Amino acid sequence: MTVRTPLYNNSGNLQEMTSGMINELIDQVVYQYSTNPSVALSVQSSGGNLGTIADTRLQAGSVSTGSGAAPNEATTQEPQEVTTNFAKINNASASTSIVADTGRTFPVYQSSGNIYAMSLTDFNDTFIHPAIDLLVSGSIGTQQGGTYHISTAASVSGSTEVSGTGTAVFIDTRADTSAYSAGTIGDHALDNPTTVTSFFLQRVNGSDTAYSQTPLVVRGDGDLQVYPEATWESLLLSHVRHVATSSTNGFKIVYSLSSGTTRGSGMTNTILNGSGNYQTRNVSVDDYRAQEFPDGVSSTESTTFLRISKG
Amino acid sequence: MITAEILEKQFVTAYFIDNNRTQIEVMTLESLSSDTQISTVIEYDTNHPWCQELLKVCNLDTLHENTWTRIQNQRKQFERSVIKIARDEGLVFSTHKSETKFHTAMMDFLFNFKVDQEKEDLFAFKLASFELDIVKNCKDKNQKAAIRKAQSPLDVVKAISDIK
Repeated sequence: MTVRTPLYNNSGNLQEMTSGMINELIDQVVYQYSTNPSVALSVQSSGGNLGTIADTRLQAGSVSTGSGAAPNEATTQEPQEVTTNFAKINNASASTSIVADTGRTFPVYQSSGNIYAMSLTDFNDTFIHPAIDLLVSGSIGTQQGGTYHISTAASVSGSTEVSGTGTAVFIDTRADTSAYSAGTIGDHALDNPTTVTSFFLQRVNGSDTAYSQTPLVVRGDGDLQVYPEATWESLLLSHVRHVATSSTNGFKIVYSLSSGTTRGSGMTNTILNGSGNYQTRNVSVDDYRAQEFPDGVSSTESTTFLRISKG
Repeated sequence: MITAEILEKQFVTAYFIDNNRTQIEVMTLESLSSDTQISTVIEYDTNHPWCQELLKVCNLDTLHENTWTRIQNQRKQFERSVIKIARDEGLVFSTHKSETKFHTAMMDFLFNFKVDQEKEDLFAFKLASFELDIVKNCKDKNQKAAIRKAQSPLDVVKAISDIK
C-alpha cells in the first residue's frame, strides 16, 4: 500500500497537498459515487436476492365444537404461528470500466525532488480506498452518500426512499387481540393481523463539497497542468464505481443481511408470547364452541439488520 | 436515524428488546414539534457510531433499568387486559355482580351440577359455607356433617337451610 501526497499549483509553485486538501478530494470521491452507485439496492415486490426476512404472528386456534358442553382447554388447538416472508431487497452490481493507465493518467507526486505520475495502485490507495472506507462505515451522513440504510419512517432527512412509493421492505405484524371475542367464536377470522412497524429502504444523499485544490497531471507534451474539473471528477467516478464492484484486494462494497456493519434500524419481528386465551361460546343447547385466542405480551422473535462491508 | 443532534433534543428512551441484551430499541421524537415517536433498533456494539452516540445520553445502567421498567409495565398491561377480558366474558366476578354473569353461573352450578367436572368447585363451595357465621356457630355435628357429605351444591344449600 502506497499512499502518495499529490502536488498542486500554488501560485506557480509546485507544493504537496495538506491532509485537509486530500480529505476534501476523498469527500469528492464519495460524492461522485453517490451520483451513480455501482452497487445498487432496489425494492421489488418479491424475489429480491439479498435474502428473505420472516414476519411471524399468532392466529387463533381452530374452533372446537361440542354438544352439551364446550370442549375443554386441553382439547382445543393452540394459537398457530402465521409466517409471511419478505424478499423485497435486490442487490445488483453495475458493469464498470476504468480509464486505462497510460503512465500519465493519474496525479503527480514528488519523491526526492523528482516528479512522478501515480500508478493505478497509488491512485486507489490515495483516493479511492479511503473513500470506500468512509462509504462502508456505520454512519449515514453525506460521507456515506450512495449507500443504503433501513428506517422506520418512509421519509428521512438526507436520504431518498428507494422504492419511491413508500413500499416497505419488511412489515412487522402481530395478532390484534381486540379482534377476538368469545361472543363471535366461529364468526371472526382466525388471523387478525395488525401492523406494528414498517421498514423502508433508504439511499443516503451525497453532498457536492468543494475541494480547494485540484491535483496536477502530466500532459502529452510532458508539461504539468491542473486537471480540468470534468476530467478529474470523471476519473474519480469511474474508478470508485469499478473498485466498489470489482476490487480484488478487499474494497468491494458488499450488502448482506447477515454480516457486516449494521446500517440503520434493525427490522424486528415481534410476536405475542402467550400460550392461548381459552374462551367458550354457548350458541344453543347443542352448539358449544371453544377457541384459544392469541394473547401475551410482545416479544422480539428475531431482528434482521441490513449490513455493509468491504469484500 | 441516530445522530448526536437528534439524541440531544429528541431522545425519549432506550431499552434492550432481547433476552441476550444485544439489541436496543431507541425511541426519538420525529421532530422537535411532533409527539410522534420513531423507533430505531440498533445493536449493542460499542464500536458502532450510533451505539457510541446513544451511550453518551443513556449509559448501560440506564439501559438495563429502562428494560426492567418496560418489562414490568408490559406485564401489568397484560394482566389488566386479561382481567378485562375475563370480566367482559363474566369469568371473573367483581363486587358489582349485576355487571357480570355471576347469577347465571351460580344458578347453573346449583341446578346443573356436573359431578365429573365440578367436584373441586363443590369442595370449594363447602369450604366457603363453613365461613358463614351460621355454620361456624352451629353446635349440631350432624348438621355440619350433612354439609360435608353433600353430593351437590343444592344439598349444601339445603343443609345450611336446615340449621335455621
